[in-house]
Amino acid sequence: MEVEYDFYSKTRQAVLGYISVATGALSVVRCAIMFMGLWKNEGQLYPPPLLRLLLGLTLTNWMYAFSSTFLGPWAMPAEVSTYVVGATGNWQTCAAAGFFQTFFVGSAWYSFSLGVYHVLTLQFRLSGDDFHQYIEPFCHMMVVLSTVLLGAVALYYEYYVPLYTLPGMYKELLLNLSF
Amino acid sequence: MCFIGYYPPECQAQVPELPSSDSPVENTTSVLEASNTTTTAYSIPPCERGYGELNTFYYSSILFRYGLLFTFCSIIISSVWIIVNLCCLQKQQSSTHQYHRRGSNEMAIEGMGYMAIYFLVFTPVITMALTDPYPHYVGTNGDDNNNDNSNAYFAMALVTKCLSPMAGFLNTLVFLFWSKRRGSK
Repeated sequence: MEVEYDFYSKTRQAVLGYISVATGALSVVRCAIMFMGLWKNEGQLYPPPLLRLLLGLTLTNWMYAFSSTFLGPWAMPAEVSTYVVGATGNWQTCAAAGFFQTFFVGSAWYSFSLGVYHVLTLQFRLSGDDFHQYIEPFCHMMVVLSTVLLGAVALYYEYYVPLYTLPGMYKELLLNLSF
Repeated sequence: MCFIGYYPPECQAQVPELPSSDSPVENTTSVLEASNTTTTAYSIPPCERGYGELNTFYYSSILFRYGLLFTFCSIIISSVWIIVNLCCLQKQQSSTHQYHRRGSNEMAIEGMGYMAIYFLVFTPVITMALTDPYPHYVGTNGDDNNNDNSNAYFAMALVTKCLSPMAGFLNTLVFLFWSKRRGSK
């Protein structure tokens, strides 16, 4: 079986490697603005459970954008510089990048929680206290399970490896994000 | 499934040659051992990290992989539910919620904005996860060498790499839009 490491040309490798650095830099700044705006919560416009869900959504997005910007292609191990342009890091920086990348899934779970919150409060007239008491712990628990716990396990067993242009992710194609 | 494509060439072990089919097979056990050795050499490269615990980790990865599909389907259902609620049941809406000082319709529309951005960001991601193109198999599919999906794969990867980190940016646009709208009132 032949393995084509030159699947992407050098130009395409560079484009794919550094496009997320630029877009992530946008997100890092704007997420901080949104986080501060939510934290102040002027006028108490958001009910507390919705405020916490939105804060979590912003935080997970910020961590993923942080990883894309500051732990970009340079954080890949120098051994893989044959197919990653500008890989000058080591396995530790690769693992750090991969750990932050997993928070992308946390934002999906927070969006799911937002949908659940709106359905429950609009359709079933659930009060904010009831949501906080019965539903909200599971919303945050799923995020912690799918990001922090799984990421810690993967860090311990050294599951983070470089992929084509992604700084680090699980080897077994957990998301099949092999771009 | 094969993960050899993700390892650099210098990390891959040298594969021992199989006995040729012309040579007479004297001992079946030796052939079995040879095939086992080949499999081992393919799947455990010398500088590979943490391969031994991979099987135990696979079950915890189900949460990760199918969690995305679960959230995607759930958000479709809840979005349709909210839209139906907003369109058909508006007369039954009341602003007597305990915490809702502004109209719940307006709050629901803001929430729909965040969910629309979820769709925008995660639809390419889930499409890539489901189609699973395996770019390193291009041109190696036996006699059929016309499966060059490199351009399409590059386009998908570009969209995904561009949109994934921008999720927070787009969420902030929704947030600031509604903040300005509330401030102008």
